Amino acid sequence: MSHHSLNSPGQAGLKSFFRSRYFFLGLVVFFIGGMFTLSRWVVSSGPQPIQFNHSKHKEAGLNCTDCHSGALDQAEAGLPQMSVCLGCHEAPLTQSKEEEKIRTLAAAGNELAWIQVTRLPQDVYFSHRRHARLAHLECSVCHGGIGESIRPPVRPAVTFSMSRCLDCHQKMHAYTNCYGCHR
Amino acid sequence: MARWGMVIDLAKCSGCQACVVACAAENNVPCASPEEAGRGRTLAWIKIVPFIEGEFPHVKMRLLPLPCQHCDNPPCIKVCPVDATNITPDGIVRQIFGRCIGCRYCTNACPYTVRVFNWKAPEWPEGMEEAQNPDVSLRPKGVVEKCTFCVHRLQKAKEVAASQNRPLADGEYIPACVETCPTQAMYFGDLEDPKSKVKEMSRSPRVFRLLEELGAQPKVFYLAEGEWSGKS
Repeated sequence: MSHHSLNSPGQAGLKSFFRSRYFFLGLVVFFIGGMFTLSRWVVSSGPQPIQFNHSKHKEAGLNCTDCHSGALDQAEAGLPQMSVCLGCHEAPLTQSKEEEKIRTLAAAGNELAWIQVTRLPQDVYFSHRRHARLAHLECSVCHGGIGESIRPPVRPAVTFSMSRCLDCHQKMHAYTNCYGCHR
Repeated sequence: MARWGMVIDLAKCSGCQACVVACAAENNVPCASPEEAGRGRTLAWIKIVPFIEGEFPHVKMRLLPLPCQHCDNPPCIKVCPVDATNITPDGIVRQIFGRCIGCRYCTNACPYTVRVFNWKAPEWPEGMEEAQNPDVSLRPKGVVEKCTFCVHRLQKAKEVAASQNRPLADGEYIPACVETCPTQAMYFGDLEDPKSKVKEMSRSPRVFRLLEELGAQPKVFYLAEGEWSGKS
């Protein structure tokens, strides 16, 4: 058919393009770029300043609130400042290189630049005090097994969604109107 | 249940606009560019409305601070097609920005013209984003916003009181405008509490409410300045 004969030169051009080194190079660049971008998404929080071990600290008898001091009485639980870490680690407790890093950073006069992993949308009002102090919720209800992790988490242990919040609010007979949480 | 209301003493108000500035700072209300302002697209949750009385040379300027009146019978919530605005049990008329579709029915239904529309995404001069209040969300382009009686302050005050196992005290929760008023012309509190200052002030013989004949039952009470009762 004339239809077929019209298409064939184009098809031949496409075939040679797919076999060309430009296509191959493009493919390689695409995959490497894609992997790079994907890894940035998955580990979006980047490396933490200290390879922190939650589990070790829990074994040593610390509570979450010892370092995340706002968890009971503030809206934000907060991440520990240098002074909190130095409270115990001013003199070496272990042979750990990571522990040594704290003192090196402190000696240079640097604060710990923790990267916040658990984040909420900016139109949601969330208060730790209301959930932890007033409603007596355990940290693990929303933060899952982060307390048992041996490396700094790169993403929240629990996926936050409005339906997750609402499920619990319905179960606990907390308010479910929009303005209770949305600012 | 509390019923939050405000009293503004016009005899004390000097029209200095400190409330306007405090409100903008507290609630992340962006500054309008000169072009935007020229088109009447300035955002403000509270504004000073001037009334000119008499004719030259016997002219008198009246100044009226105008926040959302937080009506008990709000005309704005009846027209919202998506339930993005409603009234809480304690009488605060809220706007849920995430729900608002920007149809502006409420803006037109409000007889007090206190609702404003975001014609563009909020912008701050370089470096000023640092001063934003983290307790108040930034409104995106295309939604209506208005005064919330600084409801985030209520949430905080309630929590503090609950964690100390006591009821909320009078004056513990006040909006930014009331807190900042240099002549202390504004009072805020629970209208249901017989011992509150605002309840006492709202029973003054000088009291009037704006456009009362419309039946919206606003919870912002004005105390007349001299013989002026806002009717002219």
